[in-house]
Amino acid sequence: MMKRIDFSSLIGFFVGVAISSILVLLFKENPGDVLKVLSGSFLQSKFDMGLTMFYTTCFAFAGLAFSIPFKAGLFHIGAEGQIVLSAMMAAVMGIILPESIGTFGIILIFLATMVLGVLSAQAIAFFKVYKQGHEVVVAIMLNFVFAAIATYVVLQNYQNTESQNPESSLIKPAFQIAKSDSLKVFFENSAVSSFLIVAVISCLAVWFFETKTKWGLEIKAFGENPTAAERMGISAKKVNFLALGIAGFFSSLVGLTEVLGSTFQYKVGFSPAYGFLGIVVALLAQGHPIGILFSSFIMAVLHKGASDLDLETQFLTRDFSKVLQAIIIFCVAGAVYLNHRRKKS
Amino acid sequence: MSAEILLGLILASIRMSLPILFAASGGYFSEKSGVAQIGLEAYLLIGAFTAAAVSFQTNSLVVGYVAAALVAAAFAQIFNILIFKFKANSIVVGTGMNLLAMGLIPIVSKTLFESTGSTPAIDTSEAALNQSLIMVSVVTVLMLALCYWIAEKSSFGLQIKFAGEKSEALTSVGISPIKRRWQAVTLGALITGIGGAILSTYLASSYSPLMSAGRGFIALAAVIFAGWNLRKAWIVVLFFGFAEAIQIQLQNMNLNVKIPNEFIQMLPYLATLVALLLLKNKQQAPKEIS
Amino acid sequence: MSELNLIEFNNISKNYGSCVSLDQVYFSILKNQIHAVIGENGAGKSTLMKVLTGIVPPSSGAMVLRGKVYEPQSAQDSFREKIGFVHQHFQLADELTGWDHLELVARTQNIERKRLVDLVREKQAKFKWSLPLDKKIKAYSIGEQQRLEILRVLILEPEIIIFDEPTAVLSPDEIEDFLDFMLDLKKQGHTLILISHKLNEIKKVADHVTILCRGQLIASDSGANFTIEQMAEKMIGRKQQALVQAASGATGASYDLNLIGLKLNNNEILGVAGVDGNGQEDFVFKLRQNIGLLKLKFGDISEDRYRYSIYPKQNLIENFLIRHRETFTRLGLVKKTLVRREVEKIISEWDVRPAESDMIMGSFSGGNQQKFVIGRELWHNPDVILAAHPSRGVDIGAQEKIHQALLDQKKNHRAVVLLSSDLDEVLKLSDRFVILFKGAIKGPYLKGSLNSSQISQIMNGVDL
Repeated sequence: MMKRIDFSSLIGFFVGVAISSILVLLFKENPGDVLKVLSGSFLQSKFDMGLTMFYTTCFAFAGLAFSIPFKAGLFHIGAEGQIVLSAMMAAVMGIILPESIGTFGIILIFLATMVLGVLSAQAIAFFKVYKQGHEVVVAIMLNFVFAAIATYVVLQNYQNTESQNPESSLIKPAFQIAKSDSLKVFFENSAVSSFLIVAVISCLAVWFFETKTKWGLEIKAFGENPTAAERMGISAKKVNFLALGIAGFFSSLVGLTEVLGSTFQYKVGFSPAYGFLGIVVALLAQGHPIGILFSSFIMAVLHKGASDLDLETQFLTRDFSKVLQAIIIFCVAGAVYLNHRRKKS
Repeated sequence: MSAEILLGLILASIRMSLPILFAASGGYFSEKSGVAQIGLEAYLLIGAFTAAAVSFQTNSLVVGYVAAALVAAAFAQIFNILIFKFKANSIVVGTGMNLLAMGLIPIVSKTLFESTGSTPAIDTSEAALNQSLIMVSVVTVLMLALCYWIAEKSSFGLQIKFAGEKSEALTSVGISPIKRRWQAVTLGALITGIGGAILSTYLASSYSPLMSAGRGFIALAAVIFAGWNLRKAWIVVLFFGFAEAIQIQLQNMNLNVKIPNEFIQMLPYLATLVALLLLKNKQQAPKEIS
Repeated sequence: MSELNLIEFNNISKNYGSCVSLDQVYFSILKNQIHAVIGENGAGKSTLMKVLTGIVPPSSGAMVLRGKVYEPQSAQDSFREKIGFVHQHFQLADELTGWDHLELVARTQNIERKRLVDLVREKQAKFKWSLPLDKKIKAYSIGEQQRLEILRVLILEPEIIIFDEPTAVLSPDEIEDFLDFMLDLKKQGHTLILISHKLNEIKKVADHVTILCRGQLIASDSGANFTIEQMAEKMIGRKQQALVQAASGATGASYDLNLIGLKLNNNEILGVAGVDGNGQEDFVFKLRQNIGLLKLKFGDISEDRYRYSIYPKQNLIENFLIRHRETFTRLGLVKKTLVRREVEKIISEWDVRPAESDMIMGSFSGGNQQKFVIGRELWHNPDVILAAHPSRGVDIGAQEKIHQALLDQKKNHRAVVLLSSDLDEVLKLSDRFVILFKGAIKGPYLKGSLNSSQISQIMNGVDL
């Protein structure tokens, strides 16, 4: 049975864009021009479209990484650290594995990265379940620690000797399969790759998981009333480890999309805070997995557009995308409440 | 280790812990009143930028500090309106506040100073530095005394505690818990804003992008870690300051064994996690926190 | 002077949206009397008191206090008019001390610390109380908590004191003491408003009784003019139905519950009496543990619906499904269509209103939620049923239905454990009962083997 679609977050989104436009006026820019840059930049070329699709992929994974723990009542802001750590793992594996093992090597890269992603997220569950640590605090600490570890490992051992930038050397050519990816070729060798298809399938799979499986129901029930859920035999331990484990799995997919699908190396600071953008994406979709597909595309368009603001405007910078995201968060949060109140009365 | 190094280390610990001390005190009031406060980073950044910009323009530290406090408090009203008028989730909005501060400051900076990076440096003559030191000392002592008095002695502090623990008790004596929470968040932002001012005008001589570097989160961690107890939170903050001071000390010392920078940098965060692992952690969160 | 109207309610109405909570209620309260206001859940007693204390404004109508028009804007105004309110649910913060609570009140009323200390000492001496005011509330017993609640009101030296269901949490002996305390207050010149549904207590102390039913005034007259039966009838609006007792059948297999050797037969109701906070939680925990060990099917009508039984934002189907998820999943996948049919059966059998299986749980009234929960917990024909406070917060009609259902379960060879803080409920339904006191299980006692004074003594820890 289909539930009626809730448009409040869409309304909130447009109100947010409108408020941002007014803000743009304050900085003596033409809102029309700014909006044109923001929304139109991805249409400039196939390459730009491909880049936007790449962002969509990463945002969708990051959105799922936030939304599933959120259903279990966990505010998961640790995706950023998991993404960085798993990208490091993917790059390191791609560098050290011998080319001779071929496809098996790629499978190994996937497995190692995913396992690390899952474990790094479950570290939060560990502190939460066994040490009563607040998941937000633990995730913040882990974000710093993981970022430091990733940077250390890459720069100390695998620094690209041909580059001045802090980045690892390229993974072995045999593992750079995305180079011949037909999606990538179609979009003029842009950042996009078949991971986009994985993202679409993931959203559908999560929708199925949340509505049709026992574990999905258990997560949702626990998130809404943990005491009742425990009384009905749903273990807090299981829900925490499961929800965060799935989140870590999707975080690792962001890392894989970056390293195996786009740059074929680990670049320090590659993430434009995917972990936090995932929160915006998930909130905009109100946690609905199919909605996340759309909201990640919208956010990707804006993100791509914002990177052109430096060039196209005098005062606005790419940082404006953060302002836009913040205002959209606020408006969506407000619109959801107003909608609930309207329904009640 | 010579006494000189030890003394230097202690002084450095205190110096480094100042912004976190303010942010933790500010965060304490918000959390104690029952409002989860993840936006301390935003108030630190706003305070730091405002203080640096205003001090540079007016050539007055005092005006800079006052402006930092007021602008941060004004900025927090966005948070308040969304939380209390629109019943939005405080952690969601707090995340948004951090994003907003990070995005807004470079744009304002570019408009004012034609640079998205640092603000112009303030006066760093010896006289100015001395003045700054006196200023910071006075403000810090005043802040600690005032926070202690508000939290432990004043009616306002008592009411904040009831707002966080049992809001019906406040309602039954005719006081609105929402109003007290609103005031507590505002007071918290004001104090945290001053912490930001210290960051940009005392620990540095200008604002540089994202200079709070997670101190807001560390402050929040300190409050939670101290079990929402103000004085314990201060001690935890000093511990963080110590970890940071050691980090700087280690970087400056020419040790035979090279400890990688990244490991030194993650020391405070790692220390928090290890402490979480080792300590028996019976946290008493305010009952109504959300 | 004693015949002076202290408070007059003139046609007070209160609507919440389209829902009428009070409908043209009019009566007067005389000075220096104990005035009882009685009625079922949802009769409008609490709303009326909220109007009187300025917490909510009336939709229409007016109040007169001491001959003057009285329009309180907030609780502050009612303090000023010397009206004190002792709430049913204690408004105490576990982590703060007794003094903190007193100071909160004192400071808002500009009572200085020194005067507060004097007042507290005076009141404590007067009633021979010795509350540990330096300690946090979590160290207080229930009785002490109530005294602190009352003390908080007394330091404002109110003329009128409202008690909202004050005896709900007290043991029989404590209730006797409390009734004496009320008479004492009256002797000292206070006017008391007592909100209750315990008619025997009202009969003992009330000078005047006002009866509300569904927001309307039914009667307001001198207490002497009502018998307990008359009060009950007027309160419900009809006569109570008699329960159909099952004929005591052959004893089947007994379950050894292993709670200090408690054996449970599968055709009996075992009552668990005791004042709240005497180890009920622990009892339920051990009971569930033992049932789990014996791998028996368990019907869990929990002691706190909101905490343990429902998911307010999910619909009835999901609320049902999550409870019986093992039955309706295969290989981890759920079969929702089968569930709908079962849920609709429960809805019609238990007359859950509105009959919408897709409506979220939170939109149903408390009584309908409870009916659905009971239907859900009996759906799988459990071997053992825990019914903890099964009729708390439901109206009399639903209560009768629930009681009958428990008796029917017994007839169908199920074992029922009925835990309730309402002693009358336990004595009415159970075949045997135990009494909890400070975590210890006293009994079991056969129905009718103890008189009420003996029960009261056991509830207070006297070993007979």
